[in-house]
Amino acid sequence: MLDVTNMSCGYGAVLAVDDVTFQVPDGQMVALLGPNGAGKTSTVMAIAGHVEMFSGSIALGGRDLAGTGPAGRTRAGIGLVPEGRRIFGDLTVAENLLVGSYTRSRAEARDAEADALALFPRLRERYDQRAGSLSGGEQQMLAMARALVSRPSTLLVDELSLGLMPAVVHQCFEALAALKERGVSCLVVEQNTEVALRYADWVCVLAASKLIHSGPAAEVRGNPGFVETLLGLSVDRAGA
Amino acid sequence: MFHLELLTVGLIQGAMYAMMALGLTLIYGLLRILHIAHAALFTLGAYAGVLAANAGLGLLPAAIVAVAIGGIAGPLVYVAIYRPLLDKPPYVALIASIGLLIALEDGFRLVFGPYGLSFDNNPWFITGWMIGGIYLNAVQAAIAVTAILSIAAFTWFARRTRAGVAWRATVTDPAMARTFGVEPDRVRIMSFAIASMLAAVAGVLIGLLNNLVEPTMGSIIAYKGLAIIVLGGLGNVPGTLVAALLLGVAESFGQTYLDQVLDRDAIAFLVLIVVLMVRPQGLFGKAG
Repeated sequence: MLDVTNMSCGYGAVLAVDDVTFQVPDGQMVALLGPNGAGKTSTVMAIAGHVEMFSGSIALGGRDLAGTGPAGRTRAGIGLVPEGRRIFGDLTVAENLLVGSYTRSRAEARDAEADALALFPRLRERYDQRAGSLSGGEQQMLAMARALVSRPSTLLVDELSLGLMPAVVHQCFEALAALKERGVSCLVVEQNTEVALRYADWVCVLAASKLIHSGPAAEVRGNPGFVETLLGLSVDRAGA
Repeated sequence: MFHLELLTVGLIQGAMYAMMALGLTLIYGLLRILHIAHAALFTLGAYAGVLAANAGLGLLPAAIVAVAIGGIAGPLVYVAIYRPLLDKPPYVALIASIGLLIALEDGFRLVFGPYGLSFDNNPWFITGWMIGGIYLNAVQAAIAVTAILSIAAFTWFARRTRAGVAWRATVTDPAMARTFGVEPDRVRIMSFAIASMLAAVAGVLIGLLNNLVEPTMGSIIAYKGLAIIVLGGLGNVPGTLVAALLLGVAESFGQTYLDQVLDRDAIAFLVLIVVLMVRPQGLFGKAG
């Protein structure tokens, strides 16, 4: 279980996320929605240890992650699929997976790689190709596989669907659903509300650095306009 | 036959440049620092080699001593000079690097004297063979063999070992590599060690080739190294190797045919200027 409690984070003097609290329970998928600049990516990067936390706490499986660097968090069970994928374009698929499993022993890495390739068979076909030469969808799969080979308990996926064809987006979400079955929990940041609601168990909405909604996905499923409605409400409230 | 000889001599000179420039481009690719003081490690290697050899070691053990000293000194330079400046703009490190080169050159002058040292016994200098009608002495042969072996070893390291792959990942995206447990500082120390070992062995070989080790022997090479890595497309390893060989050959032909007009070093910088006018991104750099 990932516990984010009263967390504020940002860059230097700039507050990007203000006093946010939510959980990602084991084996569940939580969708983090909201407009551009709301603080979704900052939240993910703070959990991964890349953005400075000003106050509050982030804990994984009851263990406080304060003072743990990005590599320590990967060891602790956080798997990061960052915005823009950020695969190592000059390395082959195999080499990207090798770096992904750097925190694990060779034997563990081999098993984890076999599992990841079973989930994304396309990557097996591309195994010795330069990652930079893959299609957008394949690169996204590689970014997910690279995170998976570190054997995370919680996967952070930022903007999975960005720039991908709908069929590929579904393939990637199906993979996340399969991982959920194996007990891997997942925090997904999505612009594509409709897809996120179809797969998520719980929905959080960020706007202007604040958490403005947190509730079961079932309540709002089939109503992908609810985020806009919420935003409209929050704007009204701010104006009142 | 004459041209073949010029080509051979040029390629050997180019191979020596390649050993120097490979280290420079590795460090540039990783830290975006133009490591001018690399040339001081070249000179340090040459002094270590000549002192060890004159102390009675054979040439090969002396070269190994020089490489070991380079492998220790390079990381020390990183830790003492560059690491504290990593958060500063790149020109700060560049100025520090130029300062370090000058300081070390004067240090060599103070400690070992201004006139340079020669090898008491340099059998490689006087041993030679006619190969296909071209005369090569053993030092030239050693430069060619060492360059090929060291570049092959480096390629093997970068492609086939976990540490090498991690190093390449760090060059591409340091923050992501760190996320997956690759410690960037360790990668940097390793890069300085590898680069400085290459510089040290190149220094020993040039000391043997000229049978002279002097405090300023690195100066010209420092700037030629920069010319080469710019020609090769900054941070581009294969491009750097090709640019080094091209420069060696251009110098060797230019020295013969433009002798009345320009000296060897002027030719090198003329090549640099002409190439950069035509291709500002370098011969093998990506445009834009």
